[in-house]
Amino acid sequence: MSSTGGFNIGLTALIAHRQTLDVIGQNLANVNTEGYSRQRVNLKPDAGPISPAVFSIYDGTGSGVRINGLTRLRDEFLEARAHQEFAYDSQLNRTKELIDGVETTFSEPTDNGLGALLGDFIGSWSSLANAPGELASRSQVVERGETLAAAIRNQDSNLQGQRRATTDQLSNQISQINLKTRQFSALNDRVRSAQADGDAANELRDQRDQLAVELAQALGARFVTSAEGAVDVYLGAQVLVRSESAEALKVTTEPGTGNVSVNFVTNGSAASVGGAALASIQGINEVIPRYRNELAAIATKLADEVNGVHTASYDRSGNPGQAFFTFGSNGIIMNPVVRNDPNKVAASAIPGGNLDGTAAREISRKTGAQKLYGDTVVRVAVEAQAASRRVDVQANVMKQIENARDSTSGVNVDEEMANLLATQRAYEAAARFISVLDEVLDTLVNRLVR
Amino acid sequence: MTRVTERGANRVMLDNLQASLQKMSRLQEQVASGRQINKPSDSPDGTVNALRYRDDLRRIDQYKASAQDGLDWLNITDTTLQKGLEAVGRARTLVIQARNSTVDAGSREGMAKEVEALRDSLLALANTKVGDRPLFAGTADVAFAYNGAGVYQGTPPGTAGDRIDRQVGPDSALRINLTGPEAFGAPGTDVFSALSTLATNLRSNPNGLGASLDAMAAANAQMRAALATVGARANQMNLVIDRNEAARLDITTGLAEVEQIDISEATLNIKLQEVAFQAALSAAAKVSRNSLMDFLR
Repeated sequence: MSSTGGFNIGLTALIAHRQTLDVIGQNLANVNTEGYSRQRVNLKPDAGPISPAVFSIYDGTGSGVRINGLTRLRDEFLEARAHQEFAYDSQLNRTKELIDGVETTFSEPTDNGLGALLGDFIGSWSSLANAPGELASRSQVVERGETLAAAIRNQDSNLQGQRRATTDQLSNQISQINLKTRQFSALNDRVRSAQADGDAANELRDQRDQLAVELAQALGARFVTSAEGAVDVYLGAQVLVRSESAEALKVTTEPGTGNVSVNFVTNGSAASVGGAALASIQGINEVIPRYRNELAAIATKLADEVNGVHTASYDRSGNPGQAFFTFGSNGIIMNPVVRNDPNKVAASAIPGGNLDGTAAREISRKTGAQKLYGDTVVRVAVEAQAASRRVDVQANVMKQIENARDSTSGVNVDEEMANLLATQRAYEAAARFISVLDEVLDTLVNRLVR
Repeated sequence: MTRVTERGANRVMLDNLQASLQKMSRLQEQVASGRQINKPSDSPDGTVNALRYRDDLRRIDQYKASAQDGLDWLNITDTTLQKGLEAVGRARTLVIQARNSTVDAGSREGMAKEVEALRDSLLALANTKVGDRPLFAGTADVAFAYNGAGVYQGTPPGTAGDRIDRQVGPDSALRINLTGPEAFGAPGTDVFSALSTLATNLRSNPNGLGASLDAMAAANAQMRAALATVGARANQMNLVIDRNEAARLDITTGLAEVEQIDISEATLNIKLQEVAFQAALSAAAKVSRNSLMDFLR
């Protein structure tokens, strides 16, 4: 053993613990950073030369300590599960937003919802039956019919507006996703080159992991770590990012129906998306059209019920009644002929111009449209309630996942403080070791030889 | 063992506070609006019931309005017929007096004049209107049920349009009108022609007075029968109104039960929730106050 070799041992210890202090500092600095994984210094005793050379003398004590890389504390299996749950969570949340939006258009139970307007309209026929000769009661039927038709059209256009807004939102998100996949592939590139230089590039990996979470939420993407530190992104079995190249996505809207799909830009094939995008697509293609159809069925039922009696009856002048409701390009409207002349409202079951109100009485007994409307409201209610419950359940799963991730990867200040102390003491000890060695050498050099 | 981190602890704390606050805000919404159901998904069952109750309530109100309208109609008919009966009764008295041989031609002329006046007033009664609609004309769109000559203008009984009904329940409609012939006798033998004949008989055909007496009796019977019908219908109508009133009360109670909150219970719940929230807050403050740093120097 050389007499100055000990200095080297002390030096390695000083260096190692200085670096450890830096890592602790980094951990503490990122105690509140979203997606940060705490790092740990792997210390390794530095053995002597493995094969003794001619002039080297190795006495087996080793030659200090060395930093054997930084470990990012992270559980890859947990991450994979977290990605799945993130995707499902954001899908459920988007579905809930959508159905909540639909529910808002059915403002029940109130005194001014469609249910009330339907009731008021049907009720006005009862008043007409009691006073078929009075213009006031005829005008009331016309006014309420007009109000009701407008309310049904308005509700439909609200649903349509919601569908358009969701489509815009989806397009917007897909273009953001395209930015993110490009960033992702760029990070793959940087991680690979950093790794080639012997740098673990932990901060770049953290950034990439954060993007992975966002892609999982937005698209339900899956991630596969390949060799050389690259992470590939898959949608089902389709490749979205392979190493340093990213595929772009686009939203395609079917011209007639307004149905949407998400496709790959390069070959136009449909992408099997999950996450929030899937919920948006389902909302646009299924949920909102379904409720629009139900609304249309209510309007048709109403028109059938009223027109059925109305066209078989006779107006104030004794002429056969015309259709009360008709359908324009925007949905149900009142027949303009009847709307402009309340005397064209057919209240009488007997021809010839009289004061019979039997037909009006017949219409006032119709309940079909109201029943259909009630059924629809219940379906919205049940669907919204179920969506909200699923979100609540998933929120618990998410909490558990976040806690588990945190438990593995999160920074605990107390723990870091304890490590800080231990490292500080080790540093002090190493310094002390060097000064003791110095004294020993002083004895040798200055006292022994005189 | 699970490692606990500051961020994790912080999140759990925030989640708990958030949950507590959400419950509070829901309770507050309920108390402020006074309603349990503010949107359908709050309670799908409750929403169905609320919609149904509201529908029922609206219909009951229609039935009530129709029944009340019908009852008014029947009451006017009743009053009209009562007055008519007085007139017929007076005419009958006159016939009986006239058949007394001591009555001379001059007095009979006076009686004839009175009978004519009675006929006119009876005709006016038969032309009574509800609003601007003749009471006894069926559904015919005419200004008067009888013209000046006492000829019926309205819908003949037994033909389409002779009935005026009021819908007073989901499946029950009650007839509220009597046509002229049903109240005053069939054309030709009705009370108006009987009175005309009586006036003629008083003036020039004393032998016909016996027949006139019979005719008066027949008119009396006819109108009494009509009056009885009207009375029976009015009774029915009153029953229906009472029944609807009771049903309305049931429905209003049901609706309140479904839609509205029990204020005292809700207030108590808010109080409890407030306590829970405060506990969560103070726990949060205690948990995040200390760290190892406080003890290192």
